[in-house]
Amino acid sequence: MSDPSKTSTPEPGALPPLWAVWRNPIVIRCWRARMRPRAFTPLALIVLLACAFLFFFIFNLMTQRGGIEAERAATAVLMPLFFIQAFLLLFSGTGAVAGGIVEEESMGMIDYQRLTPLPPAWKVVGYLFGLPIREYCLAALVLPFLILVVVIGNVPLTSVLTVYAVLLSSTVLYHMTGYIAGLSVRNPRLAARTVQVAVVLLYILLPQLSAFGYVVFEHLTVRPVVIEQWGPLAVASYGGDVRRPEWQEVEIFGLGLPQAVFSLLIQGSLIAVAVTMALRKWKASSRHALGRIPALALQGGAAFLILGNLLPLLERGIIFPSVAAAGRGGRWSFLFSGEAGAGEGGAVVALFALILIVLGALLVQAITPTHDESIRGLRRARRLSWKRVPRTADEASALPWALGIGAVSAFVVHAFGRAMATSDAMAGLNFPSGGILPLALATLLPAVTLAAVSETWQKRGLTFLLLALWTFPALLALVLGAVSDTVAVPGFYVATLSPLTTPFIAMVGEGVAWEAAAAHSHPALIFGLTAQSALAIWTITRCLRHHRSLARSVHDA
Amino acid sequence: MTADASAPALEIRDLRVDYGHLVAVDGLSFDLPRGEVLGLVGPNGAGKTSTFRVIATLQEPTYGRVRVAGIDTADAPAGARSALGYMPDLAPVPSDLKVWEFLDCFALAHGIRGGRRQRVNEVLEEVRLTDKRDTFCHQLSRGMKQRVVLAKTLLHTPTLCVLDEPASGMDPASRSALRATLEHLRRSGCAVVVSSHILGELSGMCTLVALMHRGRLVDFGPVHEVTDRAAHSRKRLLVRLAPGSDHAAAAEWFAARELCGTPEVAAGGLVIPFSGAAEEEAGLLREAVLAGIAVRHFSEEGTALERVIMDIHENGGGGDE
Repeated sequence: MSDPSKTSTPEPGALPPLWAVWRNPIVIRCWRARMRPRAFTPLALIVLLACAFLFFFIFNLMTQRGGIEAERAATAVLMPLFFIQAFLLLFSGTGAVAGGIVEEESMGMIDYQRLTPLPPAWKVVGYLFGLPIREYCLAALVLPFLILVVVIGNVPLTSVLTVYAVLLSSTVLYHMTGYIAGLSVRNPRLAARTVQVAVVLLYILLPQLSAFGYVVFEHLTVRPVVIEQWGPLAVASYGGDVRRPEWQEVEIFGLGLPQAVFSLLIQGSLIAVAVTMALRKWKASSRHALGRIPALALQGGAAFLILGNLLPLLERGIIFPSVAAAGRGGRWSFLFSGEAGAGEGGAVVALFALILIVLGALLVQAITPTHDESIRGLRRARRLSWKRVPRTADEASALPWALGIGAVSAFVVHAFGRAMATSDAMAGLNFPSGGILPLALATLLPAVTLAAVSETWQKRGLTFLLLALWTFPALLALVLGAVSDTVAVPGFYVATLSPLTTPFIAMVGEGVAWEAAAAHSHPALIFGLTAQSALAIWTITRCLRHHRSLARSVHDA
Repeated sequence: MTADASAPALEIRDLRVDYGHLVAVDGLSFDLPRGEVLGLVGPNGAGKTSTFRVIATLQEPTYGRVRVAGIDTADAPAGARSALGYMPDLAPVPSDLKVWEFLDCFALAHGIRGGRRQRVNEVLEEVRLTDKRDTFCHQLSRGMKQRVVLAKTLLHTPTLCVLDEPASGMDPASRSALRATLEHLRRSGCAVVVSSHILGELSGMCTLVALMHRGRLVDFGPVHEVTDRAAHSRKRLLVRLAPGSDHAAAAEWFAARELCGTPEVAAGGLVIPFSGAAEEEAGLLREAVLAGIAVRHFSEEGTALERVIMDIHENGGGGDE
């Protein structure tokens, strides 16, 4: 036992600067845990051997057997080496962050970190760069080979820096996805699954929408910049025809931006949102990951950003898959006519509405209070003699904010619908202009209904809504449509019950090949929107009654 | 915001914690001066852990104020964290770090720069784990893990230590070390709030005791005062008889005494509610022996604090509720 008089009193020193990541206590902790030589050395050897094999095999094969000059042979190794780095950072690193943060949470280490006086930003940075420290180090082992390739292959330094800037930004974005899921979802197994779903959805499925004009989603990945910067080099190294892709610039409301700048803009915005969420969770674990105002701003920002990207593409006529695919050329280009139809225009608008409905639903769910939170808010307000719970507080009803999120989506969808209807591409075609207003309503209603159901009946109600009223009618309609034309008509009506399929029904025009669809689209839409409006009104009424009942119970207690 | 040297180590005012309709802590208010060890006692669900988590800034209360060394935990949580050390119940340790690495990382996080290694060694000595410095945390026994976390709690010499069930999982030697650590902290001016189910341990460790029941503070004060107050109201005597004695007849005899309640015949003896003082207790024993009852063992049941807990558990407390 030490004598109290002899005990040294620690002197608190200044914290290391935020950018000095290597001095961050959490990074040091992760370094000690994940960089033990016994665990790191075998992995390092595997990476080094794989890189050495790729480099010497491809380089020697091309120069010695193929008689290709060293410069071109070196550039052929560029993509494989980059792929190894991207795999380590984006795939393996994201797993390390998600798994690590879930483990830290379940072990109680996160609470220990909360107890330290480190500011939240240090904790965000610490875990963000600490948990995947092994993957960063393994990726760094590829660098010597890459430098060799860049030097021998005369690869322009600007292109290397551009690609790596976007790779780093993508890495941080992917890792933040795992970070937020791990911090927000308490159940470790559910958190791991949420991360997997989020990564697949955000970085694999969503980018596929670029084929429908939504090139903005492709910029969630490093792919467009790699293709732009290194694609021609790779093609040239194999003696192919060096063609630069058509879409070298990305436009927002007429402002042309280089691919890399646009990627950094999109990814940087999402990283900023994710960091805001992480900071909120660090400040108080019981808080929602997203506040009300940021949620509304995020919905508005995302909607306007996508719109800003879509309008120039619409103006140039390359928003339509058939036109864009034919213009790009390639083996399958003969399949595409190069001319857009009214149906294609309607589908692009409906898809936009669906994207905003899904994003809005996620945000509404993120800001909806639980019963416990509502009661806590009411009790606090009563004790502190407030008239009501402040509207921006997590404990307040999310209903007005859901209305705002829905309204923003509806407004932007309406604007895009009008732009599509009056575009040159749709001139002389039967674009369903009459469906634009119902489409806006179909975009507004789901957010409000979801908030009302979630607040009143909590998780059980939400699950019922999503499965029975959103997913089931959509799937049933698909089945009915596939069975035969006779039952497809009732299927058309069933489809209008689900907010996931209503936008597409709203955009069915007279020009579609299936005459029954054109004949029934209008009455089906009226039927579906009436049902959805009635559901929204009923759930809002129940939600308001529920809040009154909670207030009474708190008052009586 | 920096700590106020003249302020009490802990001030709690009108603290309320709700989980939906369940009220975990209700209107809790008290001050804890520096250099005192407060035992927070109460049955399961009394609101002890919720109170601890709010003090430790890990949970937001419904309303109410908590100040640690004069720093408001809601207004300046980082400042409050610098002044407090919290050891949770079932204190976890990381499996992938050695003991010194674990402590060193937290010393860094608390901004301890110069003499960090010396400080780590000091706290290890404090909890008698110097020989385990280079051992991986997952290789330690549960009691040792508790002591490692206690060492982490003491790293930055906090003004207030909040220890939730620190003795759970500890062997007698470790408990003795814990008691010595608490005494050392008290002498160095640190205030300690501690909860434990091993109530006998608490009586020896604490200078003050706060009784909680259903989220409310039932009694608060020096240990002897609180236990005396409870003792005056209800005391239970354990009387064991010689083998072959007639327990029913003895129970009837005790029930007829003025200060005794109806005895319960428990395994191996009688448990008798008794409302007298120590002299009257001695008189009762003398009378019983003279009456021919073969008394083999005569004592107060459990420790004073255990009786208090049992009392509030069974009767909702008789204090200021």
